[in-house]
Amino acid sequence: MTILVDHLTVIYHPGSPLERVALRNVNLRVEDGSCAAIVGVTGSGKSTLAQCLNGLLTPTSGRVVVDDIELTSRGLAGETLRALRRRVGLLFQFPEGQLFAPTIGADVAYGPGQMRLKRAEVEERTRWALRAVALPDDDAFLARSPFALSGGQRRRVALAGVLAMRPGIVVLDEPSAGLDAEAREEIYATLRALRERERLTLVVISHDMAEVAALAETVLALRDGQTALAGPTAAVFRQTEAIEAAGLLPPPLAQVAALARARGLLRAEPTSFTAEALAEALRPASSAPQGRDGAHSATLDRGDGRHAG
Amino acid sequence: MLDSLPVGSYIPHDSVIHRLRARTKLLLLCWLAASFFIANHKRFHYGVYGLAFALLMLTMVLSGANPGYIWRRLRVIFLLMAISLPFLLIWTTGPTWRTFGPLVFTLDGVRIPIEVVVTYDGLWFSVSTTCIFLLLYLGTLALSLSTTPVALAEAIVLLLRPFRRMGLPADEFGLMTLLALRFVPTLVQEANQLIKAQVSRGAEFTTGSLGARVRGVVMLVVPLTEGALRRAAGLATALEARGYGVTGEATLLHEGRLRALDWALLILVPLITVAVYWYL
Amino acid sequence: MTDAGATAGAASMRADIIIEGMSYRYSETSGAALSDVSLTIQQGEYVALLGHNGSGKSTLARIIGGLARPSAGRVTLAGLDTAEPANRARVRGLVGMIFSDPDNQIVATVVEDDVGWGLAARGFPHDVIIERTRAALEAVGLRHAYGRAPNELSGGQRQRLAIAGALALEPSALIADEPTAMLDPRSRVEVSALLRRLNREHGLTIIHVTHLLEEAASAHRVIALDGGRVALDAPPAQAFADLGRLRALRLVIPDVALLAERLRAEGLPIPADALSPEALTRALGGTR
Repeated sequence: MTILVDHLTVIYHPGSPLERVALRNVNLRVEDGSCAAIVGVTGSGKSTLAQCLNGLLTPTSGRVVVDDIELTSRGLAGETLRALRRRVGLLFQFPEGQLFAPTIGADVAYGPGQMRLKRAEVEERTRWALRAVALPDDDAFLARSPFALSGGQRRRVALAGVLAMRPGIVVLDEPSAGLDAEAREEIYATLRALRERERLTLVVISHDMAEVAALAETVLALRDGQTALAGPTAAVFRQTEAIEAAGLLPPPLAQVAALARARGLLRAEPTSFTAEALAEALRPASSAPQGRDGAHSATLDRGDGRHAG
Repeated sequence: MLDSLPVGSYIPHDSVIHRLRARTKLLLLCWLAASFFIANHKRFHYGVYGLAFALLMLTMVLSGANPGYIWRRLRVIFLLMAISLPFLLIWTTGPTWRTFGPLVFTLDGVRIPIEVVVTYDGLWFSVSTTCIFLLLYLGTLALSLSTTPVALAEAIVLLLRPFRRMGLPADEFGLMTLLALRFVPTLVQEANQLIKAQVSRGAEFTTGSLGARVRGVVMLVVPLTEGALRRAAGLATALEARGYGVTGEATLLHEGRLRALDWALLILVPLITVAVYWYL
Repeated sequence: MTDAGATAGAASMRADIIIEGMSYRYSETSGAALSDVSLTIQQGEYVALLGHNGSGKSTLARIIGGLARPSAGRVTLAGLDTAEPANRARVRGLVGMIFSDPDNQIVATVVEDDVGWGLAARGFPHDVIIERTRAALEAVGLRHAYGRAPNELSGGQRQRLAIAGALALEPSALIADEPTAMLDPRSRVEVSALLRRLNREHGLTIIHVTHLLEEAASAHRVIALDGGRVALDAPPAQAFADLGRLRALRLVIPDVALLAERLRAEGLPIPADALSPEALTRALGGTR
């Protein structure tokens, strides 16, 4: 499924003394099966944008188009709105806090249960969704209480609850906030697998650029509700100064690349900001073990040359 | 929806009202509430209401509150009153003022004509209740926007201190007030977020069958309780780490001795109210 | 002063933390969360306490902070046994603690009220409260936030406010239990830098509990726990030299360290503790 956000503007309490522009003239296009990242500091409008994508908020002007459903300032009728919400699953921040059912199975089955499906179908979807987030799908696990799980596991149960509705697009608001490094890796591994196996379209919202670096093809950086930077991930990450101007911290490897570029240490522009690609770009001109010393002194010369100039 | 709930919060500003002791403000508010109920025994008691309204308006102006903010806080109350007014009007007995209707309701195909009778007592009662409600709300708003929660908590501790000998946990009441004032807005915000999250999962709160709505309530109550308990546990640890309760008597951050203006108001306001009650 | 103060004498000047053969279990029946931990943390040290979820690092922090009692062994702070109820008030005065969620630590709705609240709860006189509140807000760089509501501040600023609340009590040690876990990257850097500065300028002992290696790089000493036991205790340069070991402790290796590892394999002389972009590029540029 494809998402098109076209000149979207959202104003809270328009015409009152508390009027606040949350988004102004924002454009975004997410191709079917791809992943887009929306980054920005708290209050930059990224959560507002997320809530427009599944119709929780109505645009003040502009439109959001998901395949053939178009959301404009007129809003949507009940049935179409429900269809949009089914298509676009939205995982909120700290979603483990929304689990409510006595068992994991009942919680995950809630969404599809609301869709008037056959019981067997609901159960099939529940088990599929748990497998999709790398959790067990056996009866014993389904009968357990979600409140006894670890924070990272509970978050994956919440994600399964969204996936069980079989959306074509999943929007995730800070999917790794507050998790430890290991649980964070697990969530991102799950998301990568979902893209590859299920061809899900993903929109990941984060204040941490480093996290989305490996997952997203395109990045939209918001600042005060407006587009600060947008484009393919590698191109956006090259603009470290503009990223900092938007109040964000460039990913550590993008910082290394920028510092190395300034010192003339970058042999070629890295194709992506992974350790592998950057090591390639930083590798001394001749990387054969014999040429090591020569190559290193060449780097030294370039560095000194810059300092002298 | 929930962000317009009438939860008042402290607005930092330097004004006469802000400088008053929290005890003074709290006592005066209690006095106003008491005076309404005393005044209620007299048929025509709107003088007291008028006076209270004038005093509260003066307080608002002196405290430098933004009229837009007050209006937004009041809007929800007006809405609540508009909903409850018809019920207040109808549910009383006594001499009839006017009759409306017959209004016709249809239940399972059976037409039920109902005559709506509004009595003098009903009218009187509705107007009084509405006034009292509005005035008390305005008073609470004036108190909360001009007094920091810490000062309010200290005022409660000081006012309850004489009852400590009778086993009343005055200090605990103070802490509870402080934490409630601090965390209610946070919990409201969390509830707001949760409603949106559950709607995204297909929950029905306002439409759908009764069963679906009951389930909707469970979907809110369980996570909210769980979240509040988790927060309470974290808070308890943090309070312990910050040394709450390791030493006996706490120092008061805001509440010092009552000053001339405090005494003046504590004497004058009741006097004027009683005078208005007597002579009007 | 109390009698403990008199006997501790010179030791109270150096509030070392001494843990001897300490074990901890949550209940009689549960397994050991910490077993046989012995450590000495000297006054003025900056210790990064690393470990994956469930390694026991937060439990250890709470025991040092006097919030939990060891099941066996002993923890002393400036010579005071932290498990002794009579020492409770003094121990609380010597160690401050902050946690992940700043919102759970802030009790007031005005910045200076919150810092002053802890002092007031312990009965300090009024002028001392005002003076220390000012000094604490100054120390965390929040002087401009006077009179503001904490919920108007950013996450990093709120965490700094929580730190100010602990600092106002003038402790000799500050235990920060995953202080950056709920924060955005910029605020994380901000809070870590503050902890470093407090250690350097105020001589405060810092025990920084974290699962992020990059935050541990600037510590004097890295202690890693695994299964409730001390698995590693070394300066960062030594601790980060063996990434395989850290992986075995279920710690996630930061991107910069992965890059450094690759470059090192190419024969470039990158020091093991070059975990920040600046340090790595400095090593690359061969400024020496």
